[in-house]
Amino acid sequence: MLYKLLKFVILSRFSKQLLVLMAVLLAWALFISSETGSSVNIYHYYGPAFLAFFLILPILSGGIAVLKSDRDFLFTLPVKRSELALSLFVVQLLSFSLIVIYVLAYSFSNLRPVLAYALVDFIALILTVTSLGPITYSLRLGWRILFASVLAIWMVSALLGFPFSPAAIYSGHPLYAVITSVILAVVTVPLAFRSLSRVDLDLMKTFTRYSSSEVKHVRRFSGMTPMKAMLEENFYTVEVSGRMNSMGGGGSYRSGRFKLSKGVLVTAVVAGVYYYLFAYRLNLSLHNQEIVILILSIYSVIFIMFFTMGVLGNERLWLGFMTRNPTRYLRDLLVTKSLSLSALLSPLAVANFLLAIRGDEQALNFGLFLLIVIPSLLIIVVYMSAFLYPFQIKEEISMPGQFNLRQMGTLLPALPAWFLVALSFGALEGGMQLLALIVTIFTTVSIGGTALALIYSKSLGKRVVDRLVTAGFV
Amino acid sequence: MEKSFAPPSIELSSVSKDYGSVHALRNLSFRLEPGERCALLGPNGAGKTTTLKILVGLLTPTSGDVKIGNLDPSSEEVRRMMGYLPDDASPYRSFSVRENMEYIGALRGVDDVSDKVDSLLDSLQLREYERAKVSRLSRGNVQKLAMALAIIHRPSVLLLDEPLNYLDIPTQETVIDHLKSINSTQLVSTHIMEVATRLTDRVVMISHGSVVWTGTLDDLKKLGKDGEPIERVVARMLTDAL
Ligand SMILES: Nc1ncnc2c1ncn2[C@@H]1O[C@H](COP(=O)(O)OP(=O)(O)O)[C@@H](O)[C@H]1O
Ligand SMILES: [Mg+2]
Repeated sequence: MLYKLLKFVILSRFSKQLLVLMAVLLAWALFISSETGSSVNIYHYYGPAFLAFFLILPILSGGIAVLKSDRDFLFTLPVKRSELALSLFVVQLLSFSLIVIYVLAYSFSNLRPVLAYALVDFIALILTVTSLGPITYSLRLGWRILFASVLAIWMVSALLGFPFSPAAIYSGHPLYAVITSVILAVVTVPLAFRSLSRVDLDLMKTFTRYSSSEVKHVRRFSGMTPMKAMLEENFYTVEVSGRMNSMGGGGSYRSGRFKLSKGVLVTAVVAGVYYYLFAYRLNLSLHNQEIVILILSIYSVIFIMFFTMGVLGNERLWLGFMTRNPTRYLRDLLVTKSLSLSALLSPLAVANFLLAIRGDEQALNFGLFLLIVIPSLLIIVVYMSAFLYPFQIKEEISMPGQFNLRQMGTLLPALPAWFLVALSFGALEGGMQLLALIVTIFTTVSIGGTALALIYSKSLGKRVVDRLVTAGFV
Repeated sequence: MEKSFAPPSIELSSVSKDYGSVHALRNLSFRLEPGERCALLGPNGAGKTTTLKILVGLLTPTSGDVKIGNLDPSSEEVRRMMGYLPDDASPYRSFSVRENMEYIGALRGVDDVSDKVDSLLDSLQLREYERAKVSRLSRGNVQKLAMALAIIHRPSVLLLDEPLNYLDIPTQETVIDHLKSINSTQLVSTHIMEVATRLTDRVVMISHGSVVWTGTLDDLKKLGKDGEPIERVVARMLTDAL
């Protein structure tokens, strides 16, 4: 019975091709991890930074891999609660936790001297990542942000030498790392099982709680010109939607919105702290500083997913798209959203430009990345998702369908950007300052230019609209 | 700025639409006179929704010609005078009822949006849900809000896809009264004869993407034998068409 249930639960959530790909990735990661090879000290930064990210993801995306049809079908079956919980736990592991192995497998060559510790640490961390979604999905956003921040700081603290962190495996404290991660797993796993074994009841409660809300402050649009209304909704208001996991898209869908002005205030404070740390506090050698910035650049691209997931999914063709020429609406929508993101990130970009003036060329790269490349990627990713995997969000909480290969494809545009950033870094490393500068400018111009070309192509816009209509958008 | 338009005619000539290898519409032709109310009647899969999407300019026909007045459906002017309510319409989920109406009103360049919202809230009996988020509404109230959004700019052409779905009987009456009070050319898609008789005077019956019969409701009733329910007449005509 358990076997049948497990098979059903997995196959209803993952396409077969995707499962094959996951198996290949896993095998490859295990192979890589058994390689003895280079020992780069980059993992000292990279490890804790990625661990922090993997712990944040399931919490912020409110992710549990429950389908809409589960409520009508799976949960009404007479299956043992414990078996249901176990099956859902496995799915959760597949969708949120395997990525820890794919991404950090490389770092194992570095952890070879402490292999036994590393294995225990990783298993405990993977179980923890798996558990976080089920534990936190029904909490309010404020709590989830707090929870995620604490865990992220805890991981990153290893970077600053704090030994009692699961990420301290990378900073030479394997024993303490294992102790903390095992404690973390022992606390979180039973809580996750408890939550999963009653997910049907809780989900209904969460659903009604979310849906029984009235807006406190009604936003007014009357008296605005069409342009002003468009800006008010898509420029001055930033929408972030957590609807992703390591598979690229899926999990439950959540969204939140905040005023751009408030957001900029926050990014300005962060930018100030960032500049202060890098310019005066951290005392990193220029070389190490550049490594950290490289990692941050690579890392930051993932965040565009939070800004792109809802852009099309929340749109209504029969409403917005009918208020002006549909292709023009699409263009106006994407331009305003992209500029809004650029404005939000601008304080951080400025901080990087200031660092660049002080001599850190990788910071110039990151600044342009934040100001131009990421906002342009938003547009490119939205176009890709329209062709590869268009979905319209009609209900919160549950995921709209299976995970499949196509939706992972929407992340592809990030690859050339990553490649070019790494290339300019490589040039810097090789002492070729001019080449690095050229690559940086090329990256900015080519990605920005691609976004502009997409937006101003009427025929492509028409094809996107057509694609959305035939994909069942209303 | 807002303009009002006289109701235009609607005309399809030999329109075909393929979705890959599926022929959704085949040589479909019919015409609505300015100000006429007409039902597009047909079984599931007949091509009603496809026809309406082509008429609002969201889909381009594979072949054939579509005119609203004398204009192309995707022209700016037609878009301004057009109101469209799709099948299974859902408003913006993150907005409340009022926010949806004000936002779409503003995007459409409607004058005095606030007043129009107030009057729609009252006439469609949505006032008590003004501040409620869409996700909280019952399906029936979502449908009423969708109706309000489709007509907030006083369209002179209205294309309604299964408009009375999900509505209970008293609400249906409210909506029917409201639709009858709007001076516009109306094409109402439905598979329910009752809806056609309540909202329109004439029927275009389609099946497998082609017109099977057109005529007034009175003509249709006359086709039946004594006391035969009109649904039975329609069912027979659709089976004969196969
Ligand atoms: N996006 C689509 N892709 C492929 N086939 C479609 C699509 N939309 C509709 N169809 C097919 O076209 C035909 C007409 O559909 P539709 O216009 O929705 O009919 P109705 O609204 O009368 O039920 C049906 O056979 C349907 O399966
Ligand atoms: Mg239909």
